[in-house]
Parts: sequence; C-alpha cells; structure tokens
Amino acid sequence: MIEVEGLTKVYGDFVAVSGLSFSVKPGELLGLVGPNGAGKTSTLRCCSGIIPPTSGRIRVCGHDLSQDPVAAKRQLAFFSDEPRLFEYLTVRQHLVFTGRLYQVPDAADRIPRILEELDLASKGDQMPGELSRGMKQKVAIACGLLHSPQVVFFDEPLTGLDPLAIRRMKDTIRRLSAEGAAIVLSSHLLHLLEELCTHVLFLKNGRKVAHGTLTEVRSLFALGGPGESLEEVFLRIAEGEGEIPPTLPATVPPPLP
Amino acid sequence: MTQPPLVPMFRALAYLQAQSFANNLRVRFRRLKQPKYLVGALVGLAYVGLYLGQTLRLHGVGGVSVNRFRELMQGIGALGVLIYLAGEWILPGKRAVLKFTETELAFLLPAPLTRRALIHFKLLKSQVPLLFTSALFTLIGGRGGSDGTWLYRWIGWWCVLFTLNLHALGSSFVLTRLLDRGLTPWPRRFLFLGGLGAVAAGLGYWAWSQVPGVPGKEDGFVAWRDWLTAAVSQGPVHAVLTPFRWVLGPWFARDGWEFARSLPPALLLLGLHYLWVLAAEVSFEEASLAAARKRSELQAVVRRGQNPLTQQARKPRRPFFALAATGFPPVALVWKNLIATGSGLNRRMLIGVGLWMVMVGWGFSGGMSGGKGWTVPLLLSGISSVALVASLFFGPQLLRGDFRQDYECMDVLKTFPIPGWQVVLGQLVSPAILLTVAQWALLGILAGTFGAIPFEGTPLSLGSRLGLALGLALLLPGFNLLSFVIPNALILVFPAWVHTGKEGPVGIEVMGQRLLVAFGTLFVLLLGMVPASLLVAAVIATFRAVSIPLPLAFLVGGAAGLVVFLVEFAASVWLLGRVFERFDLTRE
Repeated sequence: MIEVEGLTKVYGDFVAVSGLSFSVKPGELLGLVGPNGAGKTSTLRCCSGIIPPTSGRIRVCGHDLSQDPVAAKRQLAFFSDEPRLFEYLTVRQHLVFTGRLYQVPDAADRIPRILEELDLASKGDQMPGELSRGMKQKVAIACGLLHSPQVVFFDEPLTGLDPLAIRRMKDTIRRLSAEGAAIVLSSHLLHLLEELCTHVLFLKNGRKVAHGTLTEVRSLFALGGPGESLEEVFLRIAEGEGEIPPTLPATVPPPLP
Repeated sequence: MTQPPLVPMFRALAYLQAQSFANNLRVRFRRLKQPKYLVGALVGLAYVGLYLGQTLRLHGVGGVSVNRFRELMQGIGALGVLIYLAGEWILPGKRAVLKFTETELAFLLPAPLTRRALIHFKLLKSQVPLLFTSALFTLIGGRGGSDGTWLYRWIGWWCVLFTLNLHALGSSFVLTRLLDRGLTPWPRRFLFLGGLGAVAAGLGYWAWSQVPGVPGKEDGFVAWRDWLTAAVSQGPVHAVLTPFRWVLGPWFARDGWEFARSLPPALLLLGLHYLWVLAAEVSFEEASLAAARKRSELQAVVRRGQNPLTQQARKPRRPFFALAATGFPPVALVWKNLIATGSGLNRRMLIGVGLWMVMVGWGFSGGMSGGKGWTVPLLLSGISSVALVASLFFGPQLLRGDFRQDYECMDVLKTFPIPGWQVVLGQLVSPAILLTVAQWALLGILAGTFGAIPFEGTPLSLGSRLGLALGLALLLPGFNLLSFVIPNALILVFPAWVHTGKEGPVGIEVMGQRLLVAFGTLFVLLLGMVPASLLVAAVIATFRAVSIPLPLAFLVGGAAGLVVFLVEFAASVWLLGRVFERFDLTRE
C-alpha cells in the first residue's frame, strides 16, 4: 500500500531524512517515533506529496508519487498537526469543494452522513473562525475521509484536543485501520502509539534506527525484558544507547521493479 | 511595597533594547549573503542615494527660507499642535493602552517590575523610532522649513514628536481615570468640544474686534495674511498659543543663538509632560494585552497579503453557482475563490449591472445629448476612462483571490489530486473573471456616453463605438489573465521575496527588492503585450489598407490579440504548473 525506498530529504546543508525505506500494508498502523528534528514531519510531508523528496521512491497503492502524483494523491489523505482550512468557506462548502477535487460522484449523499458521523451536522454553515480547534480538526478529517482514502498520514493528530475529541480521534483511526487503510501516524505520545499501532519506526537524525512490530522493537532494545514500555525504549534510543542492532528484522521491502 | 532598584532595572531594559537593535542589524547584514538581499540592498541604497542627492541639490537640508512668514507660520504651527493635542482629549473612546508586542508583555508583565518601570521601558523603546522619524522628516521635508542647520531641525522634530507622544500618553491616563469615575466618552467629548469652542469663539471675537485691518470681501490673500499675522502675534491669542510655540521653537530656530534660546522652554515642557505621565499612571496592562493580541492578529492577516478590513468577522457567503461533484477540477478552485471575493459582490454586481444598462441605454438613445447635455456623459466617461486604465494596473493588486490569498494553505493545495497546471489555472482565473466583468461594465458606460459627446462637432457613430468597445472587450480578459500570472509567478518562483519571515521584513534591502519586483512586473507585462499589440496593429492596418470599415478592424484586431494573450497565458500556466509541482516552501 505504501512503499518507501531510499527516501532522502535535504534542506541546504541539513539532511532531514537519509535513505529511509519502509512499507505499510493494508490494515497496518505504523507509528513514526523519534526525538524533535528526527525527520518525522519531513517524511510524512514527502510521502503525502506536499514537498518533493531529494531522492528516493515513494509508491502509494502502486502509483509512483513522482511519476503519477495525481493517481497517488487520489488514494491518500494527510492530516497535519494544525488543521488548515480556508477561512472564507463554511464547513459544508469545504466538503463540496473537496468532493469536486477528488471527483466523488456521490458526494451529495456522503456529505450529510459524514457530518453526522463527526458530530458536525449543526456546524455545516459555520465558518472556520467560529469553530474550536477540535472542531476544525474534525472538519479537516471530514474533508480527508470524504473520498475514502486507502492511505492515511497523521502528523501529531492529538495536539490541542480535549479528552473527548482524543477518544473520537482514536476511534476514527482504529476504524480506518479496520476498514483496511494503511496508516502512518507520527506522535510524541508514546502511549498512543502503544495503544493503536501495529508497527513502529524509530527515526533519529533522519535515519531509521528500528522498524518492526511493537514486540519486535521492544525485544531488540529493551534491557528490562519484553514488558518494558515504549517510553523506556524511546529514551534509550534518543539518548544514543540504541544503535541499529545487527539482528533487526528484515522489514525493508525488496527493491521495486 | 518593595520597589525594584531603579538603575539595574533600567539597565536591563536598555540591554533588551540595545541587544534587539544589534541583533536586528546582525540578522540583516547576514541576510546580505543571499544574492537576492544583496541586490535588493544595492538597489535600495542607490534609490535612497539618488533621492537624497536630488533633494539636497534642489533645496538643501535647511530648506527654503520662510523668514518673511515666520511669525505667521509659527502661529499656524502652534495652532496645529493645539488642534492635534485637543484631538487626544476628544477622540479616544477606550482605556489607556501602552503599545507592546505580545512577547514583550509575556516577559515584562510577570517580571518584578513596577508600572512606572514599564512606562520607562515604553519611553525608552520609542526613542529609536522617534530619532529615525525625526531624521527622515528632516531629510524629506527640506522645503518650507527654516534656515537652521540640519541638527537644529532634527532636534526640533524630536522635541515636537516626543512631546506629542508624552501628551498622548498622559491624556490617555487622565481619560482612563475619568472613565473610571463615570465620565463616559460622549459626555466628555461634548464637554471638551464645548470648552474648546467657547475659547475659540472668545479669541475669534477678540481678534475681530481688537486687531485692526480686518480684511473685507474684496481683499485678497495678502490682506488676510497680514491680519492673521497680527492676530497671532499679540494679545490673548498669542498668550494661548505660547506653550505650543515653545514646542516648535527649536524647529524654527535660524541660528545657534536662536536654537539655544528656544531649546530650554521646549525641554521644560517636555520635562513637565514626563512628570505628568509618571504622576498620572493608571492600570493599562489588561487593555495593552488585548491591544497587543489584536495587533498581532492583524499583522498575521497583513502578512498573508490580505486586507485587514475585510478579514474581521467573516460571514458565510453564498456560492456564485452550484458546484457539481464531478467535472473539470479547476472549476472547484474558481468556485472557491469567487466565494472568497465576498457575498456583497452579488448584490453590488446586480446594482452595478443595472446602472450600467440604464447608462448604456440612455447614452445610445441620445437621451443625454443636445445642447449642453453632454457635460454629464463627459464626466461619466472621464471617470470610467480613469477607472478602466487604473484597473489595468491596480486590479491585480487589489483582487488577490489567487495564490496570494491561499499562501497559508499551500500545503493543502499541494495535496490536491490534480496536475499542477490545473491548480494554477483554477487559482488565476477567478480574479481575472471579476476584473474583466468590472471592466466590461466600464466599457459599456464609455460606449454609451461617447454617443452623447461631440468630437469636433459630431459624436462617434454607433458602429465605431461598438467596434471599439467589442474589440477592447475581447482584449481585456486576455490581458487580465496575463497580468495575474505575474504576481502569482512571483509567489511560486520567489516566495521569499513576497512573504519572508515571521515578523515581516523591513529595511533598505527589502525596499530594493520591492522596487525590483515592481519594475520587473512592469517589464514582464509590457514584454507580454508586445506580440498582441503588434498583431492588433497589423490587423487594423491591413483592414484599413483594403478599406474594410474601422469598427470591423477593431473587432477582428481584438479577437486576434485575445488569441495571442491566451496562448501566452496557456504557456505560463503550463510552466507555473510545473513550478507548483516542485514547489517546496520549506526551502525558503
């Protein structure tokens, strides 16, 4: 579903991401973990086609993002940490607009349903400026889900949300995963990743430090046994104790044709 | 109450100011390593150098002598200061506010500082801009000044501006106290205006009855000038204006002796104002916080290149047309941008189109012609011509419903599953549509009104007017599309030139950049017009050569020009589409 091979992103002299490779299959939920400046957001923004990678290949549902960006983007949704909405469109107009861009033939039927599902039905004619941050996040999610994406990227999805909105966001992520979407989620909230993710990918200084299922990564880095928390593992890696072990599971996909 | 020691506190605040100034300079010098800023700095310096050189050559720093009218000018100046200061007592309707940035408030309010220390910080902070503004006024306002040297003038400006500054602060404190004691703005305004009016009436009566040589109806400027000079130089008018003359004294000084004589009273007034401000201090923190937040929001709007007046309290707007769920995707962008233009436009457009139709009909039917009846159409055609020409140059600056409006949402635009050229097309078409509709309305008025205006005795024929109007109507959309390409190309190709830094760039290098952008824009636009203009001229000349009527030549010429513009626009959209696909804001 998502195949990333040798992704590198360089800003001037600074290498944000270096030779990163990973894949996410349908229904898998990959947590992207790493200290600040590890290259998580750059990875997500490259994978969703917002910024061009310096080198490397990204395939979304079989479509090469650089060769056929339109087909690839039709299959994906990207949710940034700060919901970006057009200040001059109402909630409903956002959805009508998105429906046309993504060519969703049954948008007229789906829009009221999705507004209902996300508790936005009463906010349909409101402007973004009238909404709380959590509500804006919901509007961004409604727009992102309108075209039923197969690949979803979340960048710090719980930032600024209240407990109720956090619960709903987690439910949405779980539901998408259960419906077969491949999801990549970047967050500093390690308990969230432990709770939701099937796989984790540790990044440090733009390089992959570990990648595998939660159990695999724990067993590789945990000194205190397999029951050790992800936080302990994270701290060990972030403080430099965790180097790539030679026995890292072969999760890197084979080279693409 | 524990008072913080004054000197260390003052040193800390001075340190903050000095370091901020030095860091600002350092950042700007470091920025010159980038060629775009270096080129901008060189152009900016050249411009300033040329401007100052010209000003100094023409007028000298001291400016033109005003010795002959010095007494009158000083009196008028004093009256101006009085009116300005009266405004500070009459106009404000809110509590006292000290302008700080949000960051300054976040650091200073929780710090162990007294309110007086904050006032000192504010006064200290105002000195750099005051000195800079004074220097600028000294340099720019060479003409109409006194014969004093540049230093007297500079200090003179500083005295005036700082005194006005202190007075505004002191009066705002007093007004806040009055507000706390129940004197609301409107009763206070009536009170002050009434008092001021009574004093003005009294002085006017005195001057009219006591100062000899009151000019009559037949007397000219000189008589009025002499009488006013006499009125402001004696009696109660002179007495009332004396403190205000003191403020202006150093500014009007002609030599060292006059300056030395006029400075002490000006400084005395300044010192009294300072003591007054310290004595009158009131609680301003809450209002300052609110003002800082509001200013910060407005700055964010301006940084996005949007009009702050239209950004407040957005209301839902009805779309111009219903958007189908499938079809050519750029239509969605046009739909979106037309909504952004404003709901009021629908109504205004209808009224405008209605008026336009009335005018056109009236003009064509000759309803306004005959005798001197052509003055109204002449006026209308004059206004419409000016508006039409102005719209060609300023339209793309005023209508910004394109990439400039969505700069903050560039990430969202990048995720759209449509090719780059379609995004560019959708973003550029909507403002061009709006501008073209407005221009067509103006053209209609021109075509109509020209029917009623005699040219060498005979109005233009209906055929000529129609041919010319339709030819221009065909050219305009093409020209508009091309003119919207330029500012949007700037955003996509040189985003840092259009929108650099969080704080909004300032300085001579940025001024140079803007000059380059303005001239570059004009050059590219003129270059883009060359092929279309040549073709239009060739078509009209050919048609004239074979005696085909001029109206038809205009029409065909316009159509040919439109085709050229559209080809240029299509090429630009394709190229910008490729740029948009590779657009990476993070690199800027």
